Amino acid sequence: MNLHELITARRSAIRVKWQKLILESYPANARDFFQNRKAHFQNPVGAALENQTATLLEALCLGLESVNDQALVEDWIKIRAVQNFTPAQALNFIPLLKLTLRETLGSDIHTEQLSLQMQNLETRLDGLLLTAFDRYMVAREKLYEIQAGEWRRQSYLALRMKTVCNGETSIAGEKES
Amino acid sequence: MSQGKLKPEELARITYQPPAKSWTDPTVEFRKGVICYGAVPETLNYLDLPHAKKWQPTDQDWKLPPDWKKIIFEGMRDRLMRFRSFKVFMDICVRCGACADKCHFYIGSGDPKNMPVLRAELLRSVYRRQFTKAGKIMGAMVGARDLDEKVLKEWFYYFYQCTECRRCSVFCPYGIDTAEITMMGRELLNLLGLSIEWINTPLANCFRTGNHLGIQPHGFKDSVEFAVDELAELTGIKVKAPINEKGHEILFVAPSADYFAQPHYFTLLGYLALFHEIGLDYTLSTFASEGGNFGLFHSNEMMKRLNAKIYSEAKRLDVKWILGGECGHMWRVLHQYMDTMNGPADFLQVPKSSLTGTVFANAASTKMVHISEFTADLIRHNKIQLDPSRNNHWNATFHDSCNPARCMGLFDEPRYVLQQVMKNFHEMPEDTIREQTFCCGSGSGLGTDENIESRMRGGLPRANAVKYVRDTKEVNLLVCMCAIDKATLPPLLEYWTPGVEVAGLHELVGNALIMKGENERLTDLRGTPITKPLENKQDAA
Repeated sequence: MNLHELITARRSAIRVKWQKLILESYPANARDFFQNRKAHFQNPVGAALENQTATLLEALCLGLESVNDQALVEDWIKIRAVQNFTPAQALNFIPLLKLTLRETLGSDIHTEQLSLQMQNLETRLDGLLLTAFDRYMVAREKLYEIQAGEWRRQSYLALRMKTVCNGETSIAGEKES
Repeated sequence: MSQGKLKPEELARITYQPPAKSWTDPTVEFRKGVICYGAVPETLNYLDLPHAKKWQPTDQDWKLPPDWKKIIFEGMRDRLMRFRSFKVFMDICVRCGACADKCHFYIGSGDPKNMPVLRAELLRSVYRRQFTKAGKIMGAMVGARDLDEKVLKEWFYYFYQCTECRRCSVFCPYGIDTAEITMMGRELLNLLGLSIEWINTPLANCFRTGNHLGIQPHGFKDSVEFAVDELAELTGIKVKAPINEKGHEILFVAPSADYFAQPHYFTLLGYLALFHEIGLDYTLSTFASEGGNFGLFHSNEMMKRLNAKIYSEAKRLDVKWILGGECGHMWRVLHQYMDTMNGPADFLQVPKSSLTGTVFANAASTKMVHISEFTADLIRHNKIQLDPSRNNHWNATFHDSCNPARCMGLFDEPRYVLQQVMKNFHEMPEDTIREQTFCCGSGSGLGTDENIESRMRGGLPRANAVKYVRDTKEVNLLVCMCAIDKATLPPLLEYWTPGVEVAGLHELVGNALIMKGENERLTDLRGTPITKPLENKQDAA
């Protein structure tokens, strides 16, 4: 049995434990709430957690190489980026996956062959963590971009009047649609 | 965790679990990105409000007056006597938890004190300690807390994380209106000069010029004339937009953002086109140039002070009734408070459409009609010609703005209008619309930029439902009828759901409206070409 097969066989246990560790970053009442993911539209955080952990584990089972790393973390990162977390707290879900894998797979990965595969997988997850950090920064920069752009919407008519009076074709700095 | 050399497994677990603490612990951290700036002394002084000072919530010292506790307790006693609802809401909650997971801030953040029940409990606990025998005798055993500076800061933190959207109230079996508890909490904080800049500056502006933006009469007139010129370029028709003219049938009042901001401005173009086409006998007012009323987010007294201008102008301009534009909280004030605050408006007549003969008996008391009702009535009576294909480049969904939906029950009128002026319309999931609609996350004076992080997580449930129709139905437009929505949903969607624009209902009416003698429309009111129609994607239902 190779590592992917081993993870596939224990996917459910890994997922439960991993989600539990991620949810520990929230207050106790919220953990219960976020665990109830039946109502997708009433609980988007819980739904995103369910979806992103499932997608990421699926990618692990298949071998991560052929998948889009950004898509694996995008939704969850955007949520964590606006939830009062420090960057380290926001991105901790990937180190927690490494921890979960080691604890769940236990001594079964201590064979020479699987140990090497585990090492490769962890290196791959380190790469995913860096991608997640990039996406986190994109999300945070988007927040600042939105903040900076608020005045433009609020002053739209003044900008438009200036544009028309100066005979310009578009408002300075406005994105071309 | 051991203090010696850490194993890799231990490293991964550092500090990520928040320490367990009781809800009675009032400690909060005022973080940049989450909180709003404190009100500056100039605006408080302008409005004759007490205890003006230079102050920020992040300061350690809030410069409270020495007798601040007495001020709060007397303020609370006064309000318990004056507002029966406040007294009832303090006493009757059984903490069943029905509201707990209904608040968009709790759903987005997981912060337990954003549960409406617990947010209200922050105030109730002090009420119990001070005003009930059980609380005085048994203290913490019955959930009573002493008031101290930490509790006061906690109030400020959480009462400015409630948008007064009233979604929680829909689910409360006792009908407790948590928005009114937030209003009382804010009123008490105001007694100590603790308010936010984004509320107080618009208040001062509105008191001075009649609108939140502080636009003076000549600026208002310039904007309207510019809009008239732009509409002429788009349609070939120069419409009239009377301002401050006496003797017309109707006073039209819209939120001031419609005259200056984007995408609100396109809704203004829609109003102007519609009023011209039906020959509406109306006037605008430079003083009643704001339908919105940030007084609602401050105090009863301030709400009344600012609202007075609408009836005052209606009287001065000698109109018969008032028509109101696309605003959100404006309609809570007008529909639920205006009549008793500044009425009775017995100098006005019960609104009656001169075009259809419809009597708006629902507005018999306030004398003010919502424009979506008015337009729906016009369409129903075939009084306007529409070409819905001019909106074919839009594939829309409708956001029920909290106040028109939950305070007025305006669910069907806007939908009826929307489905007459466009072909491609899809509803969001049913538990996210109509009376269960999710707030934009930025209402009640929280729509500023310094708390953007808080706004984004508060708006997540709304954006999540929009994302669903974007991904499954290719929706590219979110239609709403609230000025705060129009200001705050675009950044919300830019973060969560890129590719979906925001528009007002009457922008789409203006697009579809066939005006007698108009030029061939090559663009919509935004100047976007309308030559690339989408497939008809209207829901079968």
